[in-house]
Amino acid sequence: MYCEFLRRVLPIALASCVSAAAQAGTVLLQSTTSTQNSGLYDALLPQYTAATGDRVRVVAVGTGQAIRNARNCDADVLLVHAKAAEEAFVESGFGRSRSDVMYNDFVLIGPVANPAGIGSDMSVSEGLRALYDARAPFASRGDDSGTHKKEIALWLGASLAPEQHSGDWYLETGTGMGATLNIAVESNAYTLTDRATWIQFGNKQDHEIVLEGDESLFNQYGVIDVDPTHCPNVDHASATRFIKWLTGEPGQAAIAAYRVDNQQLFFPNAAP
Amino acid sequence: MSEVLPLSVRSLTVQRGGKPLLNVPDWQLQRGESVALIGPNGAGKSLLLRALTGLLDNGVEQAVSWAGQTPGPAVMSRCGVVMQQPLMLRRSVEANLYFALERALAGDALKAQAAQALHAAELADKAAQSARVLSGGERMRLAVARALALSPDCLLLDEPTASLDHSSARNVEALVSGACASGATLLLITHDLALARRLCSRTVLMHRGEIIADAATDTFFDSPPNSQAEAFVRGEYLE
Amino acid sequence: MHSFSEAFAEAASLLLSFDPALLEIVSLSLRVSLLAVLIAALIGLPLGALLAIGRFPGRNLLTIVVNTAMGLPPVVVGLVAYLLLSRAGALGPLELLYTPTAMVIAQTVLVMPIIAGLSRQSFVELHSEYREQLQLFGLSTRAQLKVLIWDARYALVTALLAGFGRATAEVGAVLMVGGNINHYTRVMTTTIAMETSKGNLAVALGLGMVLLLIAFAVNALVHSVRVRAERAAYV
Repeated sequence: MYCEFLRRVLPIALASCVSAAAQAGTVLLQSTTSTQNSGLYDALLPQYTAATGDRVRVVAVGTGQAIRNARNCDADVLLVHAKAAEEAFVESGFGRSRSDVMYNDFVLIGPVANPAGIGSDMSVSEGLRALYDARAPFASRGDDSGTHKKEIALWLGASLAPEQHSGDWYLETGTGMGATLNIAVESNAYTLTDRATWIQFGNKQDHEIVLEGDESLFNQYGVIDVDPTHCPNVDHASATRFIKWLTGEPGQAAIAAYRVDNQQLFFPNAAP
Repeated sequence: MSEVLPLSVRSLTVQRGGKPLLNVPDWQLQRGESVALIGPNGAGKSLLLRALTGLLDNGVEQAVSWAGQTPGPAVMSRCGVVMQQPLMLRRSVEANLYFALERALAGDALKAQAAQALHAAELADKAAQSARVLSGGERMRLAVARALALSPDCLLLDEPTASLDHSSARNVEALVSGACASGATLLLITHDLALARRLCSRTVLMHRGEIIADAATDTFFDSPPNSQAEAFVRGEYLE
Repeated sequence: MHSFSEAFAEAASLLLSFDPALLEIVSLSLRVSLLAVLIAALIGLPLGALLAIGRFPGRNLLTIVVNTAMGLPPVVVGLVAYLLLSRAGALGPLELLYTPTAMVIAQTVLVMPIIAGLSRQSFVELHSEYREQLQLFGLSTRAQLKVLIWDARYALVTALLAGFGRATAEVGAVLMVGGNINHYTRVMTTTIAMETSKGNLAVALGLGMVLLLIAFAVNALVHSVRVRAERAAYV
């Protein structure tokens, strides 16, 4: 009876509130934050809605949380950037199939004064080594996000274990990219971020990119349709339609066309 | 409407923390009587009134019989009661009357009765004001008017003239004696012995939770029934 | 700090432009929080009154529970609501997660104990004043509740305001169950959190000022009503 009350009364009470309730073509997209914070969806989704009439609702959280939410079936589509975790998600039967969508790259940002002396010609491993030796403050996401997973892999690649210095110069913020950038800026720390978020970030103060271009900084975004056999309530038809558009010619062109300050933030690379 | 009088009390005891506060083995109030309940502060007068009106729980009401009924809403609808906090100060003067009258009346009859009661209490010009802005005397007049508004069979008043000025006290006294004249039974708690003599035909003295003297008012004051009553009438402290 | 002057300019321009996106966010904030406060009041006021005047076993325990719940952390409420409303949760079939309805539910849970706890205190005071009269007049418990709620109304408005303030100001619960979805579940606080994370501190602060302004307007309105009542000595 209580459920019945919620189902009937609340939506009626809110009907004036909300332009339209969920209709046939509504895609719930669990996404990483960088794609939302960079403004990509604001450019992309109206085009999709105009083309198909479908609506896309984006919940932007860290990759780790997005995957967990999708595992709870609270998503029709998952768009994140942690390829290994994405493949595991599909293999465990939560996702139907994974496709590449686009890429950009990670960059290491730090104070202009660059106390660790990281050179722009260094490799990532060398840069991290310099940082480690200088005990320069470094802000880590520490939240199981795609960026965090990448950062861990990079430290591992450099055979360094900064976690033992956690709380000293290695600062695990446990929050999103934006909050971590704010902390890095205020505490004169270095941090790893995806380029799109950095370009769009409005509080750079005296921070800049200190290292970029290394091959291992490649950042691949993938899209997955949540498996309807695992989650019978997902709108799989709408999900498939959206993914087809995103990885198809119109979506890829729209991604390539999105620019901030004349810089392209994402590079489409879906398999044709 | 069933009769609520006579009132009789049998084996009424109230204790708190093992200390006896009230002990009335046997006491009656007859229809048409007017009784003054006097005694020093803490004697148990107000407590007795609360027991009679059913405001005490713990089964005390079983010792009280209003013509065979235990005190409760049915009996109280025939009684006009003024306790020490007798008004709803967050409501207007007339709303206080309406609240009492709603039990029996509605619509125009209710309004007319309220207007009449306000007039009798000399409060007609304050009808729409908040009860909070009334003076102490006006508040008590309103409380008495409210208690009288439904022409109760029995009036139970707890110090209705305490700390009132002369004119308010006279108004209250006039309201009460008018009700008595038209047949209402009265139980009046007061420290004003002169008022007791004027209004009441019988006087009851309480001390330490017990009734220690009970006599016709004339007798009580002219030849007190015992030494304690005599001392109290003379204005001495009771031991 | 330079952000503040920028933020003032940003707040002013946001307000003066009547930016439709801003209006949408503000109006959703208000509607979600007002509805939550309304539902919370319908449950919380009778509960507060019952805790004040009722005599039933477990009353003291329930009072302690309500008082504890007054300080419920929004993220905890958000998390529990998420787990329940998730498609994998007990109430999953209702399909309420990431809807304004879910936000109303979460805020109702947050606000109801505040309204119940604060109103209980008002009812206790009023009841000590009214107890004998209500009892003598033989009012049923339900009728007593009605009298107490009506006569304590000016004091209760303060409890409702506290609840409304809590509802409009919290971000943890609405973010978790609403998802901050653009044009759908994005409210003032989640927008502020998002703009902060984008480093748009001036925009975030500007929005914060708009939020404060609304809170100020609501408080001013209620205060004026109360002052008028006080002048007529009804409080």
